[in-house]
Parts: sequence; C-alpha cells; structure tokens
Amino acid sequence: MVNPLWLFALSLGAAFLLPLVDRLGRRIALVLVHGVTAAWLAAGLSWLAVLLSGGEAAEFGTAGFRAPLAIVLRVGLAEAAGVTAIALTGLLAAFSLTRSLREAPLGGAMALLMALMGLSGIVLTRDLFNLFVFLEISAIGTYGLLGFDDRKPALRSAFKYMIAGGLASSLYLIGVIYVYRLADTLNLDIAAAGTALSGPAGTAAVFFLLAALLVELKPFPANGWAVDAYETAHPGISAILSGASATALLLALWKILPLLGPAHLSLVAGSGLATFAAGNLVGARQDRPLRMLGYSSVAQVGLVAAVAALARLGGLGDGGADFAAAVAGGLLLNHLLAKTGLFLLAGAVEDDDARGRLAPLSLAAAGVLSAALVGLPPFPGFWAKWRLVRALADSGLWWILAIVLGGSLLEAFYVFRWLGLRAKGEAGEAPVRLGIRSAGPVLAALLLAAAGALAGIRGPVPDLLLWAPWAAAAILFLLDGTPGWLKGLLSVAAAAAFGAAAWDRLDGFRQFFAVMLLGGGALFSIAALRKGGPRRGLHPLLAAATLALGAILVARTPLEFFFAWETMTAASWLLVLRGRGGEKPALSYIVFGLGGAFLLMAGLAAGGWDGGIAAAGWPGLLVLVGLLVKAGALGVHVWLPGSYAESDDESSGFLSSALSKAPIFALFALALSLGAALPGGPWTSRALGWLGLATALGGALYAVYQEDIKRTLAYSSLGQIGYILLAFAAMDQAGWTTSLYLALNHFLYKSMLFLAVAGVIQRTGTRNMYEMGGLIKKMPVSFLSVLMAIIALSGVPPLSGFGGKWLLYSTLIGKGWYLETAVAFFASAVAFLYLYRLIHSIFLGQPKPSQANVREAPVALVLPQLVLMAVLMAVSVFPRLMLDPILALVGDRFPAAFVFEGTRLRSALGYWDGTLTMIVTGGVFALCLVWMLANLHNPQSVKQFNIVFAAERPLRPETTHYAWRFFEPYRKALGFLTRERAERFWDAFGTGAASVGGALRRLYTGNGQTYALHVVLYVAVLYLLLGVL
Amino acid sequence: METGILTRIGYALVSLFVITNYGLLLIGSMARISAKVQGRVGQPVWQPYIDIVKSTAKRNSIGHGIMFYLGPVFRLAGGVGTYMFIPAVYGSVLFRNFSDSGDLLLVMYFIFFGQLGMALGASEGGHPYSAIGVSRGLSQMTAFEVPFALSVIAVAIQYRTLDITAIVAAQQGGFWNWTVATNPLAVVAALIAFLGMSMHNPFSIVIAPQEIPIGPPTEYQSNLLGMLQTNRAIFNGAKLVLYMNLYFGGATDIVTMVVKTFLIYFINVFVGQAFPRFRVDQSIRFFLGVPTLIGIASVIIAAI
Repeated sequence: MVNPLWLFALSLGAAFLLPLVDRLGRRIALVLVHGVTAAWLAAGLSWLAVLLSGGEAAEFGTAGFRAPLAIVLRVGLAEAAGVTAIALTGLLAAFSLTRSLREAPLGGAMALLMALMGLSGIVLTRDLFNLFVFLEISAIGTYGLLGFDDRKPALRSAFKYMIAGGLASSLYLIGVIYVYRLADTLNLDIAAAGTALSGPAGTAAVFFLLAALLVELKPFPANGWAVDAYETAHPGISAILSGASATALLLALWKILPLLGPAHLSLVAGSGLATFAAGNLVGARQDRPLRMLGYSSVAQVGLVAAVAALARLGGLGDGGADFAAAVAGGLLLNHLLAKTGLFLLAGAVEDDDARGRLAPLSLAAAGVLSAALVGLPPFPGFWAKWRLVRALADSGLWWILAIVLGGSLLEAFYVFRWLGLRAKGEAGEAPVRLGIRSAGPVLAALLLAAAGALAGIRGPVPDLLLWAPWAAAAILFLLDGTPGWLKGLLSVAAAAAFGAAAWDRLDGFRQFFAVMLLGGGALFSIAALRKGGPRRGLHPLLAAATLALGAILVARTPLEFFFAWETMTAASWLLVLRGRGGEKPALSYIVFGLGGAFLLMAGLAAGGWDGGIAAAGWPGLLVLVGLLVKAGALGVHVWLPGSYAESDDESSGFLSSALSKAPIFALFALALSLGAALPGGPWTSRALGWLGLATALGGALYAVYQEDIKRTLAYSSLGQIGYILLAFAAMDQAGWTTSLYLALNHFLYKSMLFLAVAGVIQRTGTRNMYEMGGLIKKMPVSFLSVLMAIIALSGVPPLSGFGGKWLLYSTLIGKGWYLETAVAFFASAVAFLYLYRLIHSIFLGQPKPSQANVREAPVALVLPQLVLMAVLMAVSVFPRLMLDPILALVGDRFPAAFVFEGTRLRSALGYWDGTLTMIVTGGVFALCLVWMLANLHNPQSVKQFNIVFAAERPLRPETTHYAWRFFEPYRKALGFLTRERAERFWDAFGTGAASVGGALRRLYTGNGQTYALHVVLYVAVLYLLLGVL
Repeated sequence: METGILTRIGYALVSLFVITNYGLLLIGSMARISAKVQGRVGQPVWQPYIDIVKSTAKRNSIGHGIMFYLGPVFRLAGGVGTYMFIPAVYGSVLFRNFSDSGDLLLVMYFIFFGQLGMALGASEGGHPYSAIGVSRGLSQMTAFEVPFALSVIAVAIQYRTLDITAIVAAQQGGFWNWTVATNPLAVVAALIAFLGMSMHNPFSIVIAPQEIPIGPPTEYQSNLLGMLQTNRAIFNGAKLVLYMNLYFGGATDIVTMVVKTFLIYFINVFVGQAFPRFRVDQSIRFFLGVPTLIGIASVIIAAI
C-alpha cells in the first residue's frame, strides 16, 4: 500500500510550488492541483482494491517509530473509503471551480489543496492532537475557500464559519489537554484500551472532544453559520463542505466512538436525530435551492451520526460494527454523492439565474440524485434505510423510526418540489443547458446507480427479474431519440417477455393480477403510439412502471417486495410529472406514495416473512394502512384526482386501470399470508368495509360535479376501488369472488373509457366536457366504446357490470351488512349521474362548429378498444369465462356461497343467469327494434338546431348544449357531502408542519454573534444533559 | 315443469299483451279519475290507445341520429324486459315470464336499462330541455332509490331470499302474512319511493307535464313517441306487479292482480292530487330524510 505520508508531502509540496508554477500559467497550476487531488483519489482506490481483495489494514508510523512514540496513520477500509470519497468530491468540485480558480488570486487553489489534505488527514490519523492539527488545517483551508472568489455574502458567512470553527477548536483543545493529562497518551487506540478515561474527569474530557466534533458536524440549532455558508459559497465549495468535510468529520466521530460512554452516545444520537428532524422541517419551508440543500445536508449528517451512535449504544441490528458501518456508511456514501452532485447542479442553475426546465441529460442526473437522496431504490440509501428501519423495528425503537421516516418524507417533499420545478421550468423560458458543468452531477449519478445496483444485486436482491424495470428504463432512455413506435413495440415486448419469464413462478392469484398489471401496461404502451414522434420519456417510464408491477408479483421477500413497490412508485410518479400540468399533482403523488410506502416499510420490517407479507397484529395494520394510502381510500385520496387528471392521457389510463390493482393485489397477499384474514380480525374487516364504502360514495359524489373529463374518471376510479375494498373486506368466498370480479371488470371498462377519452381529448384539444358535444357522428367507435363501458360500469344488465352488482349485493346481504348494502345502492345510483353526464356532454347534444373537422381517434386507440369491447361482450354473454377462474382462485378457503348450475349462478339468497338475461334482453331489444323500423314512416334527418325550442331559434351550441354545472340542483341538495374535507385537513397538516419549520427557521438570524451564542448554548445544554444522563 | 322454449316465448307474448292492455287502461282510467277530482269531465278511458295509434300513424318521422332512434327502442325494451324478469302471477305458467333469468336484483337494475337508453336518445335530440329533464330525473332517482333499496333489503332479510317467486310464496295464506302486515315500515318506505319512481306529484318536475314540454321526450314524435307511450303502460304495469309481489302478497290469479295493482297505483294518484310539486333539490332532501329513516327502521326491525 502507498504510504499516505507521501501524499501529504505531495500536497504540501505542490502548495508551496504553486506560486512558482503559476508563473508558467494558471492553467498549468490548476493541472497541478487536479493532479494532486487525482493522486489522492488513486491512492484511495488502490487502498480500497487491496483491502477489498482481502488485504489487512495497515498502520504507518512517522519517522520510523510506532505509537505511542510517534503519530500513526491508519489505512483501514473506512479510511480508504473516506479518502477516496474526499478526493472524488474534491476532484469534482475542483473541476466545477475551474473558472473561479483561474480568475481569482492563487490563494484559492492553495486553500483547496490544503483543505482536502486536512480532511484526508482527519480521516487517516490515529492521534488526537494530530487530529486537531488537521482539523485546523482543513478549517483554515475552508475559510480561505469560502472567501477566495470575492462573493460578498460568502465572505460574511466565512467570518461566521470562522467564529464557530474557532469555538469548536478551543473546545477540542481543552479536551485534548484533559485526555492527555488523564490517559498519558494521545494515541486513540491506546487511550481507548485503557480505563483512565472512564471516571467523571475522563467523561468530561471526552465530552470536550465530542462537543467540538459535534459542533463541527453542524447540529441543530447551532448550525446557522454552516447553512449560511452552504447557501452563499461557490457550489463547488458547498459540495466540498457537504460531501468531503462531512465525511471526514463523521469518520473522526466514528474514530472517537470507542472513547465514548453511553451518556456520550445518547447525546450524539439525540443531537443527530434532532438535527435530522429540524433540518428537514426547516428545509421544507425553504425555497432557495442551495440553502434548502444545506438544510438537507445538516439533516443527513445528523442522521448518520445518530445511526453510528445508536448502533454502538443499543446494539442495533446485529449489534456489531458491521451493521453500523453498512448503514451509516451506506447513508454517508449516498449523501456524499447525491449532495455533491446536487450542489454542483443546483449551483450551476442558480449561477445562470436560469428559470427554464433542465435539458434532458441534466434533468436525468437531477432525477437520479434527488431520488437517491430521498432513499428510493436502487441507490445505496435505499438499502441502508431498509436495514436501519428493520433494525429499529427489531429493537422496538418506534419513536426513532417515526422520526426517521417522517424526516425522510419531509425531505422527499422539498427535494422533489425542487426537482418538479426544474423538470417543468417556468413557462416561456428556454431549456437550461449546463454543458460541461453537468459532467460532475452526471458522474455522481452514475456512481450512485452503479453502487446501488451492485449493493442490491450482490446483496439482498439477486433476482435479476426484479431489476428488469431498471434495465428496461435504462435501455429505452438510451433509445429515447428513436421513433415512438419502436419504443412502444419494445415496451410491449418487454412486458410480454417479463410475463413469459415470470409466469411459472406465479401462483394463481399472481397470474390473475399479472393479466391486469402487465396486460394493462402493454395495452397503454400501444395506446401511446397514438401520437407520432419520439414522445421522450413516456415509453421508458411506462415500461418501467409496467415491469415494476410485474416485479411486485414476483417478489418473495419483504425487501424484494418493497424494492419493487418503491420502483413502481418512482416510475409512476415520473409518469405523472411528465404530464403537461403535472408538477403539483406529481408532488402530492410522490409524497402520499412515499408516505404509504413508509408505513408499508415499517410494517414489513416489523412483521416476519412467511412466503407472503406475513404480518399479524399491528405491523400488519401498518401494512394495511400503507396499502390503503396507495389505493386512494377516502381521506388519503387527495393525491389521486390531480395525478390522474394531469398526467398524459395514456398514463392516466395506466394508473387507473392497471396500477390501481397493485395495492389490491397486495391486500389479497396480506390476507392470504394470514390465512385469509386481516390483521386485527373482524373489526378491521368491518372498518375496512365502511372505508371502502365511504370511498365508493365519495368517489361517485365528487365525480358528479367535475367539468374536467379526466377528473370525472379519476373520481370514478376512486369509487370503483372503494367497491373492490368493500367486497374484499367481507372476507368470505362471496366477498373475494366479488372483489376479484370487480377488479377485472374495472380493468376492462376503465381501460375502454380512458382510451376513448384519450382520443377525444387528442381530437378536440380540451378536457372540459362542456366544450365538447355531439361527437357521436364524428367518433362513432369511441362513442360505442364509452357506451358499453358506462353500461358495464353502472351495472345495468345485460353487460358484465351487472354481475358485479349482483355479486356485491348478494355478498353484503348474505354477510348481514345491511346498511352497507343500502349505501352501496345509493353510491351505485349516484354513478349514473356522472356517467350520463360524461356521455351526454361529449358525444350527444349540440356539436360545436369549431369541432366540425374532428375525426375518429387514431388506430392505436381504436384497436385496443375494439378488442376490449369484444372481451367485454364475451364475458357478458358467458359470465363463467370470468367467474370460473375466479371461483377456482378463491377456492375452498371459505365455505362456498356462490355455486354455478349450468349457466345460472346461485347464492344463498337468489340466482342470476347471465346468458339467459342476455338472450332475453337481446330478443326483446330486437323485437322493439323491428317494431320501430316497421312503423317508421318517411324518416327525415334534420339539421342542427332544428328542435322544438320554445318561441326562439337557438343560434349557438354554447347556449343550447346543456352541459356546464349539469347537476347544480344536486349540489344544492347534497353539496355538503363533498366539501373537500380531506383536502383541507391535509392542507392544514402541511401548514402546521410548515409553521413549525417557520418557527424553527427564526433561529437563523444571519447574525454571527447569535450563531456564536447558539454554539455556546448548545454545548452548555449538552453538558447539562450529560450530567442528567 | 319444463316448458319448451317456443311455448315459453308464446306464453311470454300473451303475458305481454295482457299487461300492455291493462297498463293502457290503467293510465286512461287514472287520468279520468284525476279529472273527476279536479271537476273536469276528462278523457275517455281508451284515450291512451288513440294517442298511440295517432302517433304511430304519423306520415313523417323527424330524426336526429342513430341514438335518437334507438332511444325509444331501449326504453320499450327496458319496460318489456323488466316485466319479462318478473313472475306476474304466482303459480301460473302462463305469467311466469322469464323470471328464471335472475332474482330481484336483476329486476331492480334492469329498470335502468330503458332509462339509460332513453336518456341517451333524448340527448342526441339536442334539446336542452331533454338534458335538463334527464339531469333532474337522475338526480331524483338516486334519492328515492335509497328508501326503496332499504325496503328491499328488509324484505330480503325477512324472507331470506331475493327470489321473487319465493318472496310471494312466503306471503301466501292470508293478509297477515303479507309484508304490509309483517313489516309495514318497509312498505311505507317503498311506497314513498314509488311516488318518486312514478314521477307523479309532488315529484313530477322531471317531465313537468303542466308546463312547456320538458323532459326527456321533448323531441320525440311519431312512432317514436308511440313507443314511449306504449312503454309507459308496460313499465307501469311491471313496477306495480313488482310492488304487489314484494309487499302485498302477490297474486294467484289475474283478477287479484288487477285489483291489487289498481289499488297500489291509486295511491299515486291520491297523493298526486293532494300535493304540490317539489323542486329537485327539495325532493332529494326529502327522500334522504324521513323515508330513509323509515327504511332503516324497517331493516332494523327485520334484522332483529
């Protein structure tokens, strides 16, 4: 292994030589700087290579002596990784700083070299005083860096930084003096091995060391000075502060952990968690990106410190250093790369004062970095967070778990808010091109992806099928410039191939859902061909989401399931974001999606695993609630309408018909793993039943008042999912049969509706139903499709929808849920209102002159509709086509309530013969049709407006087409039921969190004296707490 | 008791013929009774026949499109179909119809078949009053459906079946076995719902018969109107038979059926002559108020 002393010599030598080299030109001087940093990186990598291939950690003494006679530098795995990380961040930052370094005085380059060397020294040394020296070197280097390029605000924050740093140094020095006095050594290992530091005096001595390091780690509330620096410095410097400096200081903390007693560790954990929570709360209020990233940085560092302390303190996980290293290390690596990339990227955007959307490559990098920061799969943070949550649940540390997940959710909120802003940009602004400046972020993103994938595939998720969504997304993104049809066909092929590869691994239930999930994805991939051009981003995301749904079915362990679940959440969120007005809905989509996912995660982590989602008792309830959030149950449905409405039309269809079945599948899987029961027993069933019912009624009522066709369908989906939940909650053969039947039926007719509506919107260019009218003559196939779909949805015989209603009411009455039956009747009746309105306002009534040239929808939409119509007709005439497989699936888990006798289905209460109903209806209809035709004398078609309008000749369709506020009397009577209480509740909840953040933010006055006081008070409070502990 | 399919179709046609004529005469006689109440002479009892013949014989038929023509077909098929799924006379092979297609739930939902189709046809007519009428009708329908559904649930609980024939069978053996005697609250709820269903006063705003022509049939004329008029008779008959079966012990012969359904329909006319009209929002609130509470009470009584 390379002796690190050479590197120090190299850095120092280079720094001294710089003024000379600068005479040859600044460019050459900078090459020297980059070269030295690269040398550190090479050394770090070479150490890593040796250590990872089984080499031993090495210690290097100075001047040929060993400890305690000399200072010792140690190169273990942690040190090697740390040095690599610091050098890498430094190199990326140095590249982004190139222009500033070239223009500013040479001191900047020297400060950079010194800061990086100091940070590496902090990582390598095993000597407490030497640690102080390196802390000082890096601190002085940092002050220089903050001020070097003449940014006035940065100069001010550098001064504040210096005050805080000075306080920390003083504390540290006091600590060193006491430790030396008590332990007679400054070598860490020797001091830790002895008992000299275990008494009260030793505790105090160590406290000073600890307090100094904690202050350097920027704890809440003594971190205003750091956040100011993050915001005002050059983004490259911020990246060094956030990535490299945090890494070094965390490793320093890691190093002195053996000296710490339980009380010290509690302080670290408490302070870290408080910083994590407060940092994210304040960050959520922040709209300046760099400051926001600053808050996120301090929060993340707090979390890593807390995890390290907790692992040592509470025997978290398997109790060993391995766990702490894996989790804290994973989180740190994640933070380091993501934050470095984000600071560079956000900083470049801020420097340009650009307001447009990011160009594709930068945007992709921003997406990856943000997703990684939030802990989405497959990035290192995801794996670390999973282990952490699992360990916290195992140890019963629920309140910590709550803080970790709550803080993460807040972080997701503000990071993705920023991302949404950058993905959409302000209207009328040109796309932001960062050119070479995006290289650093892209590299960081690639490293994150590689590290995450490696950690996953070689670790807990070796099943390559589960990685298919990522592979598909990657390949299709690479092909994103090619024509849409090619990508669409590839997407369909991917879904088919996935299905073929997975089919044998799926049991009956999973195969049943695979038809809807994968089939739905393929269906809407075809529909996406309706427009020419490459349609960038759509196909990769659609394919990824589809395969993620498949992966959910394939998953075997809780982690695999959660991995696939989060993959699905992420892909579908991006689909929503891609929509024209998708920025806001996407944010609520991902926040609620992640909120649900975190509940799921906590539940999965707390419950065991038994071939299914095995979670009895309250972990199971957590899983249940998490799934209900994703299903959009009333109360937590607020994310749904906007997302469905604002995403691309084929994406909405996909979300509603296919993806909405994922939580339903998971519910069945949950119940099956508990032996066909729900966690919590019959009371849960009853509550879930009422919740489903409320969702059904709420969805229907909200749908009645919508003018926007897609919002109508979105609320309609909500309502239909409500029925599925209601039937599922019955927990008997009848209920499950009904639930599965309703699910499949919903898939059929909602696909038809969304496909038809996509065509209508494409042709008319509006989503407002009252702006349409009379399209039946222009778009007859779409009309027929909608007609069949609404008949099926409303449950009118003879189409398959009636089967659903019959099954549902038979189930409910049979179960003794009488009031539920009545409410379900009411909800079903309300559905007629919006369905009629939909078909009337679009296809019937008076056509608009502006839509005179509207044509039938494109083939890519019409063809799937024709197929679905045929399927719907077939299952309507022969209900056994659908019901036989479903009855077989439900099997003999429960006593049989539904039995077929020929074509007649019998329940305990009655019977229904779908085939005979169809024949009778067909016969009667034919009879009436013949009667009508036979007696039709001299039929004449008349022109528009030729109607018996009382004493007036209508002129304009706008005043004649009765479509706007169609059910106003209904609103007058029952409007009080739909006053958006859930929306107001969540708004208030958000406002509350923002107010807390706002209140905390008032601590940060920007005044250096106040900040100094914060530091002093922070240390004093810690000291007092140490006494209590 | 298996009958050949052709025989069954023949029987069904006879049954349909009977109910059509009965329905027409019922409408005619009720109109005359209403006139008497209001101190007028009124139309002859056979006026509905004259109306239908007149409409059907019109020389021209104005159309607005395919769906416009299909509206009355849906409407009439809905009326006939509803009747076809109800056993009209208990124990009679002739009047058994095709009630083996499904139980009470099928009948309740098939009622919507004609309404939906008609609403669509009317919509294509392009007349705003049609759409307004549909809007009002659907709004009101959602509300009266609630007491009706509660009452049906009470019946299902009481007789432990949704099979209409079985429900009638359970009520045989005298007045005290009828639902109206065993669970009067259910019958009260259902009858109030029936007022809404029949769109007589005070729930007649949907077609607003006294004012300008409004409501779904606004644009219809000729044979198409004739079909709607025919349907009114059949559909009324079907609903009356259903009510008789569920609440008033059914009928074992055609005479009993005529008497019972006449009396049930008379309740409509009686109330209709005595009350003014509700606005739609008022009638919605009305149905979801006291009648719903009565319905809930009837369910609770049946359940315990």
